[in-house]
Amino acid sequence: MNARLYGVEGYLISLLKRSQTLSYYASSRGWGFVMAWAHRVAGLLLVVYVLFHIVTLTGLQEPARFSAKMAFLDNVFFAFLEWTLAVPVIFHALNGIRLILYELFGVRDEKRMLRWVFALSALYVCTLGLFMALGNQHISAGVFWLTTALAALLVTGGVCDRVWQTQNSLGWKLQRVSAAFLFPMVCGHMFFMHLNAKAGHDVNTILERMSGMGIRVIDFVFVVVIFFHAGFGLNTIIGDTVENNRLRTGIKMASCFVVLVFAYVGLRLVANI
Amino acid sequence: MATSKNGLKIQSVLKTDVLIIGAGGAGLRCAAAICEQRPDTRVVAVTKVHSPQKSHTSAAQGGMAAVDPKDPLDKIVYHMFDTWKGSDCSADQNIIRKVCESAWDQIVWLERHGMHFSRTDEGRIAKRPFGGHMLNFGEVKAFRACYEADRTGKGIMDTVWAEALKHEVIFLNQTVAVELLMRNSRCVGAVVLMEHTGAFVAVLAKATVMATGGKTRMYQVSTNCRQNTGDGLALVLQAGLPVMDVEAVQFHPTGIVGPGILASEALRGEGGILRNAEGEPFMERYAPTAKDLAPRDLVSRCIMNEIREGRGCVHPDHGLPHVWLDLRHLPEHVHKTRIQEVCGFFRKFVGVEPQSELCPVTPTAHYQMGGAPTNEFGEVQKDPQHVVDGLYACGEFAAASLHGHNRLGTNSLLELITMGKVVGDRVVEYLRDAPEPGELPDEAGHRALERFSRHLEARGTERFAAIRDALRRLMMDKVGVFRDEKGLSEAIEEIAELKSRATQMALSSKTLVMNQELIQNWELNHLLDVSYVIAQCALARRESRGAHYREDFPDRSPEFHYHTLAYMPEFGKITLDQRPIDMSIYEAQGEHYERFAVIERKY
Amino acid sequence: MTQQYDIVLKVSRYDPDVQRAWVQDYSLKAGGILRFVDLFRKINDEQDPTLAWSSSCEHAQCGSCGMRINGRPLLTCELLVETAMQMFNTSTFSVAPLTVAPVVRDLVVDLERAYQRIHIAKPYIIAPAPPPPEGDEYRIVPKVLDRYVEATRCINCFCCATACVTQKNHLGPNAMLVNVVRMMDPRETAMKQRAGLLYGEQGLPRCRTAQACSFVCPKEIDVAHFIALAKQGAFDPVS
Ligand SMILES: Cc1cc2nc3c(=O)[nH]c(=O)nc-3n(C[C@H](O)[C@H](O)[C@H](O)COP(=O)(O)OP(=O)(O)OC[C@H]3O[C@@H](n4cnc5c(N)ncnc54)[C@H](O)[C@@H]3O)c2cc1C
Ligand code: HEM
Ligand code: HEM
Ligand code: SF4
Ligand code: F3S
Ligand code: FES
Repeated sequence: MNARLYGVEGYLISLLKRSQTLSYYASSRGWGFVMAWAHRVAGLLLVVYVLFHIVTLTGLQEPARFSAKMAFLDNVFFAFLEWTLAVPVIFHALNGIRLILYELFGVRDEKRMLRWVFALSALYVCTLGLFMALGNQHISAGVFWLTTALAALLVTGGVCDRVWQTQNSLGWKLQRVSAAFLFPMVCGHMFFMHLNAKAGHDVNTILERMSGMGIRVIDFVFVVVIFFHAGFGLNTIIGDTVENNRLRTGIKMASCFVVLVFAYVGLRLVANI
Repeated sequence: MATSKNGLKIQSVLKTDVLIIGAGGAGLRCAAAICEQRPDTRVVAVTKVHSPQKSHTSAAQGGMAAVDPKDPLDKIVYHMFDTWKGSDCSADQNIIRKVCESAWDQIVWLERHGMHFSRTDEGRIAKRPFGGHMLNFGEVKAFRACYEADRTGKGIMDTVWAEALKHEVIFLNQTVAVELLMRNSRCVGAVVLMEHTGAFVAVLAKATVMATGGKTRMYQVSTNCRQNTGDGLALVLQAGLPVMDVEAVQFHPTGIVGPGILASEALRGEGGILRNAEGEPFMERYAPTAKDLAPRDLVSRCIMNEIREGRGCVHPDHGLPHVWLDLRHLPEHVHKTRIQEVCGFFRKFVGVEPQSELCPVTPTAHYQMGGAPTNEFGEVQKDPQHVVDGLYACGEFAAASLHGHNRLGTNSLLELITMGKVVGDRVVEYLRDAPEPGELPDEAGHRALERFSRHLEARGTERFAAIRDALRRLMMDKVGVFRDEKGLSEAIEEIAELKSRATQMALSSKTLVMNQELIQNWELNHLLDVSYVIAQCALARRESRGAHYREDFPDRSPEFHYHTLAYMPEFGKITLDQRPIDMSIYEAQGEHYERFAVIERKY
Repeated sequence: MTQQYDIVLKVSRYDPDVQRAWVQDYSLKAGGILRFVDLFRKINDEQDPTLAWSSSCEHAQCGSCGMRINGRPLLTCELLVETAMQMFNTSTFSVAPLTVAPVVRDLVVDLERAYQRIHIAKPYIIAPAPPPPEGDEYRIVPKVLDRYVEATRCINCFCCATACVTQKNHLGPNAMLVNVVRMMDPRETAMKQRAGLLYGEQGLPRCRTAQACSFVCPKEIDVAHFIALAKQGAFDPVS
């Protein structure tokens, strides 16, 4: 990736290259190596966010308290934080898709793929920022989620079809399948929540939306899939880094437990509202 | 157990059925043969390098000769004739017959054990022409070299190594053999130094196979690896055994200027052409029929001649004289698939793009035809009539001799594999009622430990590098492609002087663990010993034969129709002897026997 | 030699006798077409005979001389001073051993330990297909061979394994190649066992598709491609 740089992604890459550590690894092990670590870091950030997210969402059971909390979060600083969350989300999502295309669909044009990841990420983050600033877009929740869920099922089907015949381990396959499902879902979720000021932050809007059976089913599946993906992701990271057998099993079990507890809380929330 | 003055001692004893010194292509083919036939044999293989796979066989490029019985044109007798003619009539005909006849079987063995030969469109093993290999007794070039792109040696090494692994051969890596253990003139194993731990270990074995490979690091420009320092020959000499035909050192015509890395003959096999400074394809002048594919000794001398007569070039960076190898006219797919590795060498090491530029090449020391004399079963001889019980040798280290005074390209890999197998078979037979090696002989390790303590205690300001470089230059100049009486006599004196200087190299660190300096100094003595013997043998052979070319005696002489044997139990105390050349094919008076007479060698 | 450069090598050293590790600087003058192994030899000859390093063929063909130069794992016998200066844009180089196995001394690592992984991957044919008639070879047409022939060029230099993201519980990219080659080799029939090794805990699931292996491979083998072929099931009996 040291050919001529052009476009947004070219600019982004040249920015990244200014970091000594990044360019050290990029020049000694290639961009793929940097991307792999970035993917991992983003994944971990997302895990942390989702856990935190579930905790805040449990507030929905007491709408008044939720409103109070939301009011606290309702300022420029937190809006900015929410916006920056889009970076790990979209980077992890697009890079995940890149990995799936490389591993399962024989797309080996790496340079172009990396460019696309950077370019589309920038596009997503900017558009999201724009909508957040405008804060006045509207779309029917039903239509939006129906199309997103359909898109998700379609992508999932495609990946399923590819991966199912292979001799890879079940967990490995499900990780790709869940990733495919999450790609439209998470990107869509984040987008939807910022179409307007109310969509993601106003208790009544949220509760009204969540009273619909369709949305609840979708959310239910969403929680299951995300927690599987997060849990297995953690499992992978632990497997890649902890050598001692006993220690590894211990940490794996602990992380599994945490993920299951949160998944249970999340599911109960969807069911009880 | 032996203990030297300053406390060096043998720390442990390991008992095994077979000890293989040198886990290269030959050693491991032998190990595989033993284990295949006698699965519960305990085989220990030692190698100087990190892992057997790193042995120098991995660097061989071009191919391995074998006549495919399905080939309608080629016949084994042509291969035998080419080898005989190539050797300048000094190879042993019983060996030639044995090796050439079993060649194809060995190719099939390799193929069945997983070697990735290059293939023809029908999926058969592909073959390419190679220097000196011809049809119809020298008429047109033969397609006889089976190959794996330009990494044939690597393919062989990987295959025999993996096979040995499968049979659970015990490897002692980064371990040097430092002394042969003899009892009542039977070989009962060896003392080795394990570099990782710094421990001397005595390995007692019923049978010992030596396959320490090449030994031409004493030349300034050499294709040989860093470890090819003639240890094997030195050990044999120290044990009071002879070496044979060591004066026959082959210079490969096309070394890449600078590091001496080999640009395989396969390049010329695929159609590469040598050109002098004027762009003339000069080989047409010297060898009208075989042209660029004439045997190596001839091509090397032609190149040197061009350079001497002022038609060579001088490399701007290395300051070394050279000629050009032209590959520009070869089709793209040849560059991409068949000579990919070697072309990469030019790109990497001299910054030349072979598809569009001329490549600078110069003769480089490559292969030693001579070695430890063995009979046709690979049993090491102590004199022409007697063998040493329990000691075997194969590979480049041994001289059976298939190559006489000049080896044809691709015949070495063939020899490793066929003779490795022959030795394996013989060892299996021997093991059937071989006596136990017994306890460690009393004087075991004395010699080796004594040497090491001498190195450890050496005082003085002589520098290793200075002696090594002086030796390498000297050998190249005076015992190289061209030799004469004066040069050789001077060389002998100078080597003796270097030898005495070499006793005054003080070590910076006295540890035994991975002490590179210590090993280097130890190796330098071997280089000096072997160089001395080479020069002496070259001086004694007052004729030109194969790779041994005496300017003062440019012709072959019937007087010297024998193998040179040399003994040197102590530096300088050299005695020469002779071994007759086996002429059994000629003497049998069968079909074509007249071809195997002492014939003229013209290409 | 046309031009001399002033080079500084910052060499990681380790003395097993006293178990001490340190970094030592060596300054030297060198021509542009010297290789790094030549530099080490020069150091041995002129400055410090105790520096231990490894090499064998010095042809880039055996894989003994892998080291990390400015962090990048490569073969030091094919790295010219000039190339290195262009590659890293400096004349100061850190020289450190590979990370696949413990260091024995200075730049020498215990490759025997690293090789254990290759042994686990079984580089031979485990169960050969029914052989052709006596004296005949298996038929492998170029179309079949070409699919995996690149992967057979691996020399086990362990550069890829040093560069890979996953350093633990992983047999490593080159061990994966061993299995991939044999699974694509029509002479092998032990597919179950191979698949067990390839898709097992220490196999492909540990690969994060970082492609550092392809990036550093001195033989320019696209290792990640072959690993991905396996994930993709390119040679599964079913597909
Ligand atoms: C660049 C190059 C290209 C070649 N190309 C061809 C070709 O195309 N065709 C052909 O037929 N031939 C070719 N040859 C020749 C051929 O490769 C060699 O003759 C052959 O590989 C030697 O094999 P070997 O098994 O005898 O020794 P090696 O493979 O060199 O093995 C020797 C073994 O002995 C070990 N050893 C050495 N000393 C000691 C010691 N003191 N203690 C313990 N172990 C020790 C070494 O570590 C090594 O494991 C080529 C040679 C070179 C250098
Ligand atoms: C938005 C769509 C997503 C896609 C396309 C996606 C894709 C992927 C893929 C393909 C992997 C496997 C990488 C590998 O094995 O090398 C992965 C790993 C992982 N994902 Fe996701 N993911 C998504 C969302 C998420 C979310 C929401 C989380 C967190 C809750 C998450 C957490 C993780 C973690 C922790 C890993 C393990 C990372 C590692 O092994 O280095 N992912 N993801
Ligand atoms: C910052 C932007 C985000 C906002 C404002 C937001 C808001 C919300 C809201 C309001 C809900 C309630 C359900 C619904 O309305 O459908 C919800 C649910 C959920 N969100 Fe987000 N979200 C954001 C980002 C994310 C991200 C990045 C992830 C994934 C990594 C995520 C994962 C989930 C999950 C799993 C649920 C379902 C939880 C449950 O019902 O138990 N959200 N989010
Ligand atoms: S794949 Fe490449 S980097 Fe890895 S061991 Fe093989 S040759 Fe070395
Ligand atoms: S670097 Fe490692 S992560 Fe996979 S693609 Fe190569 S093995
Ligand atoms: S020394 Fe053999 S690859 Fe570098």
